Amino acid sequence: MSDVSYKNKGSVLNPLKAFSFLGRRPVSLPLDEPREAAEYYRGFHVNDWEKCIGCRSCQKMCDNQAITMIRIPSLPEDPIAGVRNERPAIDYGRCCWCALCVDACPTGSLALTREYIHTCHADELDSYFILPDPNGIHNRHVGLGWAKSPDSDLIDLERRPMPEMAPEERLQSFAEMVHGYSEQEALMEASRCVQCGMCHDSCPTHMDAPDYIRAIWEGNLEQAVRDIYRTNPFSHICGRVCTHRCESACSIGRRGEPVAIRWLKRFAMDHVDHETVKRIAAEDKGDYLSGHKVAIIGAGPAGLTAAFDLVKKGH
Amino acid sequence: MRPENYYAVNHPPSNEYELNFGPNHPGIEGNYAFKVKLEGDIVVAARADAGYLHRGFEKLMEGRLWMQNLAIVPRICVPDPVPMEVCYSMGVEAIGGLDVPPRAQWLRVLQLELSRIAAHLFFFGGHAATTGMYTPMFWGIADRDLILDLFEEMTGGRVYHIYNIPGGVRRDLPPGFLDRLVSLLDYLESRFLDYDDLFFTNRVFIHRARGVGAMDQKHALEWGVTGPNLRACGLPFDVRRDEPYLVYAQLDFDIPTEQAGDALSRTLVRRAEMQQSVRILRQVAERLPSVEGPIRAPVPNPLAWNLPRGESYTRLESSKGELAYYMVSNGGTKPYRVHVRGPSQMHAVQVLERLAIGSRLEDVAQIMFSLDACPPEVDR
Repeated sequence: MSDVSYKNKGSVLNPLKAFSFLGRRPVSLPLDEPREAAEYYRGFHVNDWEKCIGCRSCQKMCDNQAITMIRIPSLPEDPIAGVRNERPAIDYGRCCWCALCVDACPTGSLALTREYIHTCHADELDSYFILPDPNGIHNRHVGLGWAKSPDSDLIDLERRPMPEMAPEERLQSFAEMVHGYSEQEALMEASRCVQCGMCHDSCPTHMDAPDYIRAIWEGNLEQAVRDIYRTNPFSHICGRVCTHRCESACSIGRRGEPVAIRWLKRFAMDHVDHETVKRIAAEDKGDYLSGHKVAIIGAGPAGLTAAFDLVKKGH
Repeated sequence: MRPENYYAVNHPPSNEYELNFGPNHPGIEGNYAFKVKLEGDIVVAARADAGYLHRGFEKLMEGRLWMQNLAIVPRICVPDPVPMEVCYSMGVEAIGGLDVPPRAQWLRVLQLELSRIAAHLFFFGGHAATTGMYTPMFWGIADRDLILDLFEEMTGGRVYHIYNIPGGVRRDLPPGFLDRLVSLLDYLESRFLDYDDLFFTNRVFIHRARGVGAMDQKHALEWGVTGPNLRACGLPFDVRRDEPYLVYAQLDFDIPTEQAGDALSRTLVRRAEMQQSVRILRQVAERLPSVEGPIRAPVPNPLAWNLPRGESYTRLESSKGELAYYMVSNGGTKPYRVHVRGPSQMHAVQVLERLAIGSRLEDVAQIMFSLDACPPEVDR
């Protein structure tokens, strides 16, 4: 910057500098075609319907409530495989293109494109509410912009390893070979859950796994036990030997290792003392006594669960 | 015909009249009203009204997850959004005890300085327009657009970058970015000379701005003035140097000051700051390739992330002054309270109301712009 003074009159030739601009590129140029957006541009959404499982994580992550899950009857729904026939629809009157939905998508189906222009007449305002499919908003393939990347992925794909007894020791002992999570490991594992509820849908007894995983993460193990007992009185056992269909359906398992739901259940049951568990199990038993007796044939898990529920109902 | 219930009110004889600047006056960046009472063309009283841009950010943040808030904080200051993201992230990191990897810190400085130049170009263009010079306005905005192009490449968004998250940043630089950055810096430095000829050393501007809206250092400190406006009063205070955050302690730069504290000084300080930001960015471009490693620290699943109970006060130097976030966590997944100290709150209300008194009508817009107040920061 040259010396600033209103007494500095400068040279009379200064205005001639204007001619030097004749040879320069203009500062602003008219655009004929919309310019191509940058590599990571955050434009309109696309969603790969083959990959999307309708887990609603995008909806939960959206900070403007721009995402609504829409049921599409023509798509398959399979609770065992962890697939819902819901797909996210985006309200572009609310969307702020932050791409947190993309970063929080467990499957990696959702992405933003480099497409950024959409206009309409007043009577077509509904066109701002779209159900993104692989073709994008205008069926034009302009290329992906902000897509799933390990740089910004908010989903933790790695499961905490479960400490186990060494094989040599196992030969010598009848002790339990799986040691169970420590408190820190359980917290870390519980934090991975996105609360999609696929586990609940696929579980034969529809255990409220999202609830007890959240309770473990919040450090409230008694609440976790309460959530577990709501549907399953055999959680000590199921926390060890269940076939964990929940984990096969877990949405995190689409790209990484599913949340160790079974081990978390075991952790909650092991870390609450027996008397407390008994108290919690009896909590919703009413004072009402029906006076009837019910005979249950068979003493397997189903029969014992039926007995547990019937006792709570006063029989 | 007069309605029956109309009675003329007799005012005492006066030459005073009221005039509203705004809420859509082009002399301010955003919806903001400045109501002045004039006698002839001299301002005798002034009242700032920033409520036209109240969006309730602080309250909105209490209802959103720690990570979700990143999408709304840049909106608190549109021309200079990066400090908002960085300051919010730094606050969350302070409560959560997260360590930001070195590469992410350098990337944050890169953004902060680019954003500072962009904001000063916006200011420069706007200030020139308030003095009736429209060419600098077009130049300032057009050259700012080149910075936005770089932001688009780096972050995916031109204006609201939403690029910082607690723990680091969301993407690494695309290939060849630093070369393009350096060539843009070369271009900007050549343009600064054009700006000097056209505006900063232009006698028309100097005559218009000298002595307008002057404040002394004592009053500036009493009124809570920070940033370039304070440095224009001769006090070399800059958070980047006096309480270094990120990697500013490793960078070499000067704190430009002026003495007079008037509109001219404030403009010249910002002109010199653009030069210093270019200097910082050149150092960043040189050293960033040697800083390797991750760009963010691992954070828990954002849907379940509950920060420990605690509070933090983080501050940094934005283009407008000292920006700070005060955050309280009660151990939940959402903030209990977030307070934003927008530097413009002081500049646009108590300072502007006082400086305008005694000035002439045609200088009011210039005083407003020379303080570089950003109305969305005033009423969050």
